[in-house]
Amino acid sequence: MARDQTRGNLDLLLLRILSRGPAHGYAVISALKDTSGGVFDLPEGTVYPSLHRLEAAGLLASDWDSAGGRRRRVYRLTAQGETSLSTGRSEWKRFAGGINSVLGESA
Amino acid sequence: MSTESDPVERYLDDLMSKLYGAPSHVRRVLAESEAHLRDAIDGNLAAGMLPEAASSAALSSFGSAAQVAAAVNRAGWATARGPGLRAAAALVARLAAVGMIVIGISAAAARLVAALTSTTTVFGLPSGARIPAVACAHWLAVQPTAHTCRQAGTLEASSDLTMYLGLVGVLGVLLLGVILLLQSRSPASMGVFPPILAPAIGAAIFGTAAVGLGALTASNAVVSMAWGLGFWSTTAACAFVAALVCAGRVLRVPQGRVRHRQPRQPAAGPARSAG
Repeated sequence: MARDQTRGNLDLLLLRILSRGPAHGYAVISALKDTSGGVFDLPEGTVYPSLHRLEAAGLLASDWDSAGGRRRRVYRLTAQGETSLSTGRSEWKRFAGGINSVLGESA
Repeated sequence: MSTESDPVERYLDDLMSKLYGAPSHVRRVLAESEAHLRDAIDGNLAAGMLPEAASSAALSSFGSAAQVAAAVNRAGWATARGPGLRAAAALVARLAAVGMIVIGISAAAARLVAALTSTTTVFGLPSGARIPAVACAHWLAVQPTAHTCRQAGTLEASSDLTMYLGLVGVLGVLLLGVILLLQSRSPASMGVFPPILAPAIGAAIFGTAAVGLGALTASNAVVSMAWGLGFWSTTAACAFVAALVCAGRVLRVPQGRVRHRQPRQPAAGPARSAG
């Protein structure tokens, strides 16, 4: 269930992680796992298509970087991505608030 | 470490064999996957794992090649509608061009068989065919060497079918030339579909055509302005050969599926921070 829920909200999570600064795929996915305390534990390779999709939608941009002798694709949030993140966070807070209200939890 | 014994290399080869899409997209996925796996292994080694366990854990966390390829291919279809539509148009045009060429070859083959046997054998109007008076008058007018309507109809079919179907074949060659020229200028549009798709569709279409033309041969049919036992059987044989060629290409796809790839840069340098 946790995996399905992660998958459904992965775009928002990726945008949030990249709002902290540009990062390559491994760093993004590691941050996703670390900051969630291991709850968001998807097969790492399946996260890249989401990054590609967000880039195709104009929410992310990326460039190759060869720092340390290893070639990596570094992703960064675009202005459109920032707007989308802001909208997504607001919607999520409203949604989570509604769920919490029904469950009787404090928001 | 040799390429064969490196589990990351083996994994990437497996992943590559399962990926579809434009070559640039496949290369990008492989490059990102390799960088990720090398970083993960470095991280695991730094955490104190033995090399074999570090590789195994990194590959396990990354997901199986089938799992990753399925996710990449699914996303590729969703995000690449434009290239996908262009590739679909190119596929249809290419199949049409090949079909037109086969039609032209059929006409040439029918003409050759007529030269070796007789025009009547190949293009002869069936004995039971009803000949409208208007058609008879027209055929006799345009085929002055014929003495009967049946003779005139046979000569007319020989002339018209050879000319029109031959023209279709020439147009097919020109169309295929244009398609190949465009694809050589835009190789990124290639590889969007599984390589088995075009020959599989070709085998199905030509196979169906061969069966249909075989049925026309068996019934010695008259279809519009086309008739002749030799004509139907020759075209059926050409369609059957085309279906066999396509089926042969389908069977060869597994070996041909593995794309050539530049040797990957060996892992070098320290692990990059995950932050």
